[in-house]
Amino acid sequence: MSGIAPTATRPAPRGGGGSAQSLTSGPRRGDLVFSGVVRAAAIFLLLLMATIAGFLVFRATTALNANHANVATYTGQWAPDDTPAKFGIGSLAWGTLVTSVIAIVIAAPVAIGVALFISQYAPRRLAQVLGYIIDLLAAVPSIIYGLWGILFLVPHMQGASQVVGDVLGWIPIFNTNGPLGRSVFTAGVILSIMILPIIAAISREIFLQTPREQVEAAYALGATRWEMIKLAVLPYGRRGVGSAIVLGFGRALGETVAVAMVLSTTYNFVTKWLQSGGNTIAANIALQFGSAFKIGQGALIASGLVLFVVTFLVNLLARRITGRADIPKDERWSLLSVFRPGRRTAAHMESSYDANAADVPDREGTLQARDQAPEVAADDTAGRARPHRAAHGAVGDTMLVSPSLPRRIRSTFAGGMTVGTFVLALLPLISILWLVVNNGRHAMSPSFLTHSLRNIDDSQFGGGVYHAIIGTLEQSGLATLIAVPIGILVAVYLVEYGRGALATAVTFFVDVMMGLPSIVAGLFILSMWILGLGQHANGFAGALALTILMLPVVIRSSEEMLKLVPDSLREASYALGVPKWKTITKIVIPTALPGIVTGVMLGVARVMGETAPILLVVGYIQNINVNPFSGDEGQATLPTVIYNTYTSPEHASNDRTWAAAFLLIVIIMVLNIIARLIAWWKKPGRA
Amino acid sequence: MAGLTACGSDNNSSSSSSGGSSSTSSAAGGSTGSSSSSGSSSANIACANGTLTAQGSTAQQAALNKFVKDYQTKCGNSTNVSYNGTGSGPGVTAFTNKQADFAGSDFPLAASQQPAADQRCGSGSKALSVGTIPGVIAVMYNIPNVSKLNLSASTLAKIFNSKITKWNDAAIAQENPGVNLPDLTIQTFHRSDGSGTSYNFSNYLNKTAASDFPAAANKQWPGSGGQGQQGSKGVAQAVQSTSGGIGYAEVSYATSNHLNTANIGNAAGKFVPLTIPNAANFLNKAKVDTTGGNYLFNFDYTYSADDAYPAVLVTYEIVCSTGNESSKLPELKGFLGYLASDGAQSQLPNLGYVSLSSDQESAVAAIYSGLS
Repeated sequence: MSGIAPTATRPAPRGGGGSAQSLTSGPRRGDLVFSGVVRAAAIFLLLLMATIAGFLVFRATTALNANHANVATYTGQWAPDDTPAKFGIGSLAWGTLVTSVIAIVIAAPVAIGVALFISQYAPRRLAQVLGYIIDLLAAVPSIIYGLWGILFLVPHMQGASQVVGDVLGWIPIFNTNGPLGRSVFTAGVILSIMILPIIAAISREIFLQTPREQVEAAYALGATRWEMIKLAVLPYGRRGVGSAIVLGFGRALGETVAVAMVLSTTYNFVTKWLQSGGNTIAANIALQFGSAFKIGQGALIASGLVLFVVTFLVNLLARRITGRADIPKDERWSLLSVFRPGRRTAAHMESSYDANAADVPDREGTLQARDQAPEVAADDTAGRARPHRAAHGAVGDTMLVSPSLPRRIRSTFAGGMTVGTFVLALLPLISILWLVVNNGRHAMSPSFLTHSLRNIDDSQFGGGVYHAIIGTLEQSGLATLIAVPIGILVAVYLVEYGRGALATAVTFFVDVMMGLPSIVAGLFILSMWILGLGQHANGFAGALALTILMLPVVIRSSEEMLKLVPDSLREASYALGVPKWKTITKIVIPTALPGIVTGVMLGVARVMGETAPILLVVGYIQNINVNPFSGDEGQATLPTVIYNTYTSPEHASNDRTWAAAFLLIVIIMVLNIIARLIAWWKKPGRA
Repeated sequence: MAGLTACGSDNNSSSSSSGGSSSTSSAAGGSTGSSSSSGSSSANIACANGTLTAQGSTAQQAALNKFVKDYQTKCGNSTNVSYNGTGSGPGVTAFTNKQADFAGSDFPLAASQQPAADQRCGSGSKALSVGTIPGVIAVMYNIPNVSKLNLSASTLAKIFNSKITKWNDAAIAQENPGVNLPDLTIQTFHRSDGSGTSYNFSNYLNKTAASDFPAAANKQWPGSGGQGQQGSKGVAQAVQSTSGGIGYAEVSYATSNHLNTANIGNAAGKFVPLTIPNAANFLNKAKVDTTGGNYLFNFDYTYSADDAYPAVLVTYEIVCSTGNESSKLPELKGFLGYLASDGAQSQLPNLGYVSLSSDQESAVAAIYSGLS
């Protein structure tokens, strides 16, 4: 995982602690305690995952033994509760891959464009705000994406699919001869919108961490802004962006409700992607869970297990691809090479300006000081309007070059493209928000915030969601309290201590956990905590299920952010004789805090909108219950209100669906802003 | 209670209870029914304090939400009943695991589920399946400028098996003389999730037109072709937004989406319009199986009176015959007894359901009053 760091010589776990110790009379007590704590967190995570995996395997085996069909190839009805039981998972796995691949192919370029726009092109003052706007997409609950998909996207996709089918119909997958719209293609488009904020937010944070020296070095060489991005920002961020894409892919694989709502379910291996039909593992779980009995649940769990395997294979592949980036001679980015290939090299300038420049692609043919008349300053051209990013310091005569017109045009064009991706990402957000606000305003009122739904029937207007606001805040708050410390400790372990089998195993399980369908987390808590240990089905049980879903998001994003902390900071701290544990808690974590907070907020946003696991482990009630630890009394949350009111045919009830969704988005956004304000306030060197 | 609730309030009695101005069929009756009948029926309600937890079938959720409200309104703030629409499967599972005091289900307990459920109720006790909330399935369609449509079971079977693909097909035209049917592709929509609605609609087709619909009834839609949608809500929305669409759902979804409903054919080939009384007439002829203390409905699809609408369903409550927790028993009997009372059953038509006949009602009420 060393590719991100600027220095190529750094050992895998962040070193330095050992040398610090050598100056003292032996290992310090604080270090021993701290390393013990982070190791314990890592081992706890392993045990948790092993328990979940063991439980899943046990439940799945029973169902697979009862299955009378070939689980890999059977394409008939999903009928695990029939006698004889019959179900197939192969076609579901195929559909899952297809939708997720479509999603990532659409989302990844757009998200990277958005991240570049926000971190590199947008005016500094606006950048933060623009980032929050994109983060709003992550705050939209899955069920609202589904509603938007049915009401807005599917009708529009029918026309769009027809056009694509007419033009590309000669390619088998785009062939059409039936109803269009409720297809894997539409599902992929919805998924791409849902995973875009994750990829964009993490990429943005990583791009913002690009060392100033590399940026300035690129400008000093006469690079336009786009060339600087290709020389410094993209190479620096590629590992992190790769991880962000994997995170997004994991979410796409495990997404349930939205896909279940837009996709017309069939159990065949989908070959015509524009045509209605198809299914995914997670959507199938959401669809079939409500009518599943014992073997049925086992069959769904078996499919969840397959999703584990698929997620793992995808992660493995992604790691292989991004892993190659460690090799300095890597040519992956040569496609994006600043100068057209074949030009001769003018000079090898690596390490002449900064020791850290090793990460700037220094291969032959990339850098070339064009022989042009030097102009007065390096920062007066259109592509480099931002003085603080320009190379004031580089005043060597030969360095001061002005980019030729084609290069400036290319830079401007690239900038325009990133603006374009940002606008593209805004369109669904505006459409969704309009839908939610327009429908939500009917039921929204002060009493909606201060009253419960007790004694309000479906056809009756009035009532409110006070009880659900309490439940949402308490359950996700408890989940955050549990998941964040454990998650950060595990991330610290992976980045600062991890080596050997334990680190490999933890990394592996965190990746696999990303693809855990939320309903399986709910099932696990139901079976182990409530039924196995005899605990109550209360708000706390809901919080535990949410914790399981939140942990991988917190760990992976914190890990990426911790890796971005320059080693020079650690080394400086060690050089002053500061012990490793203090260096981590006082220097490393605070430096990475804004990024960690972003990751935590993404995690909170994800779990706050969760419906399925909560329905399983917390009873839905319409009256106020402020105590999440109260017996079996149950507790409402905003998503369960959305779910319960949405299924009603009555308009009064449906109005409350939209108002609750509106409220949920607002709450997630407000929490986001508060958390970021805290992170900004706590950031070292703020003044 | 007031101290616990801090700044929020459970008291919705003062808030505008301008119920029922929704556009469903229950609109007119619903508003008067919800405000007045809860008062008039309150005489039947046996109150008890405590908290009752139940979950299961979404098909009966709208009815139970209303009845929970009636019950809590009558009994006051120390009485809480919650019904969580998680689906029949999780409902029965939760009941078996003692997480729910009773479960709502689209199906009676299967033979394979009965032993575990009986065991949950304690030795000598039995888990009962009691048909309590009947419903009616509408065949909704969206054909421009067509507001009256007859479809026989055989034609419906061919449509839902993709054998008939155009609205101006000869088979449909023959059943609808004088109706100007367009040259429009038929798009059928069915439930993509397992449901009692799919089971009962496929049962009607299979029992009435076996040669055209050979597949046995199944909670997973057994027809071939067509597009799946999640929930009755999804099916209704899809039909509404698709010109040439047709689908099936509980009648309340058809009315709330302003969809026309077809007159469907019975075993004698007569076309019966969808009305609640017509559905009730068919339901009254169902054979009732009371073995083992259950109350199970077996519909008689050969009954072919002009005013008996044959696509109906019944949802069940699953509850322990004996061995219920003594602290919960009074409330359990009180609430379930209310479900089977005139006060509740008479409201069902306004909520988009069908009432039990008075005989059925008293038989079900007797079962609930015998719980211990």
